[in-house]
Amino acid sequence: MNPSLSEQDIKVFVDAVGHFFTTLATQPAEIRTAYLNDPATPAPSHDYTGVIEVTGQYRGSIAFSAPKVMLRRVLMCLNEPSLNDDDFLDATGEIANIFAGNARRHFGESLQISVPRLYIGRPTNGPHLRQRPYVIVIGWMGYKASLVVDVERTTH
Amino acid sequence: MSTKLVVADDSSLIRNRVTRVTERLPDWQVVASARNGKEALQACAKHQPDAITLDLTMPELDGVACIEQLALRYPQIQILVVSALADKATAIGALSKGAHGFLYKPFTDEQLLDALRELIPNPRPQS
Repeated sequence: MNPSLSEQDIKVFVDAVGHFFTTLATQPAEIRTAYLNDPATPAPSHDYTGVIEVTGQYRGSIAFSAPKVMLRRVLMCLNEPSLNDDDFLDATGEIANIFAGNARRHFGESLQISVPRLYIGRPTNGPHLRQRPYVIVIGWMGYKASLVVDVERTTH
Repeated sequence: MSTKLVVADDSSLIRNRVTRVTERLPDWQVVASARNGKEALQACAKHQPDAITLDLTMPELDGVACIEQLALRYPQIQILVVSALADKATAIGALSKGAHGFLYKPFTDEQLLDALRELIPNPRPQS
């Protein structure tokens, strides 16, 4: 079995992004681009990053990364009065959790996901599983964030 | 006496939001919030709530284990699972273990209010 995710698999994450911003933040997001990352270039990251580890019949990670100004705007849309570093980190992790969790509508419960690991800036968890993880660049209200899908099927 | 609610989620964003939205329901009161299943059980022991909103993916004790414990110890508590896990098997599994409702993240304020109203259609009037 080919361990790589298909175009249809990646579309599930694109749909999850669209659904999130339409439902919660009332303004639709646009997918600026989706591509296989160049092995020589680090995957994009911004001020805050939430990483979900994937296990089960899949392995790898799903990372959502966004700049502070964008997260501030998201939290304001949610009427969140508290806007400090902890809140931005928490929001990043929760958004990553929602994208990964929503993907189970397509992948099923065999895509097991962890609680989020949170980072200010770039994650420090070493190299990606895949040489070329999928990068989805999200545009919303003039801001730019990224979702890095570094997931593959296990062979067993 | 109002309808007492415990809010359990590892995200403060979700805990705060559920609390703020619930304040719009007359006769409902959030009595405690919990960051994991263990804290949720402690809050239920202390406050004896009428209902709980419960995330599934949480540290310490996850939501499914928490549902099993709640159903065993406090069968009167109405459990609304609020989770991003969008596959049918997870929802069916949670309901079969004792949850009474399931709300997918992300949710609108109205979807949460509707889910709470369905959970307890006739809340106790405030005294």
